[in-house]
Amino acid sequence: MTNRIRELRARDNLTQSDLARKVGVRRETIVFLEKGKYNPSLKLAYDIARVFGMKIEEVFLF
Amino acid sequence: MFEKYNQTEEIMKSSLRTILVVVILVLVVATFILWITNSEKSFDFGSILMMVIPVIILVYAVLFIRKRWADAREQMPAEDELSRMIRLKSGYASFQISLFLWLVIGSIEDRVALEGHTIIGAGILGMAVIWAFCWIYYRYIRRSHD
Repeated sequence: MTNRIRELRARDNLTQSDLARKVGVRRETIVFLEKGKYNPSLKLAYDIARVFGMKIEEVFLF
Repeated sequence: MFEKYNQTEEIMKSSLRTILVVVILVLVVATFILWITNSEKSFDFGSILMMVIPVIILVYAVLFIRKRWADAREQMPAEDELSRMIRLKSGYASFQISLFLWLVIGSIEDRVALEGHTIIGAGILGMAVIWAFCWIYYRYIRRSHD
């Protein structure tokens, strides 16, 4: 599974720490997600998609 | 509302763990001071082992508190789903490896000239070291966490 977190974060001018704070995880988790080393839980995927105002399937690509 | 409740629960759990580490730290320091002041000074394997365990606990506790302090300053949660998964995997792997450690200790017990409590101390220290290595492996070396 790949994702567009880095691209969307750049679009919204958010740092990794900003996004981590918004979804209530540690910055390392965002780093792992962006590198594709970790598949998030459904709740975290939903929270991230909501931050960017998009659907889960638009952020996370299967 | 539920998010607020979950956040409060997380903060409480995190605070409880930090308090627990501080209490353990105080107990270890107190025991260590009592042991140093009341024991005869000898440098056999058992004594050195007894010195190493509190030092490891102290170093771990200091690093743990420093990290929690830095997290609190950056308004980051102390734990999240990834760190919990890494901890769970480390615990699972270290438990399996530790079983083999105790098998080895059990098989060589009669052949080494050490007292029972020293062997048990070495085993417990070994378990802690195995857990630390497993955690480092899953945190820094393993490439994916699916």
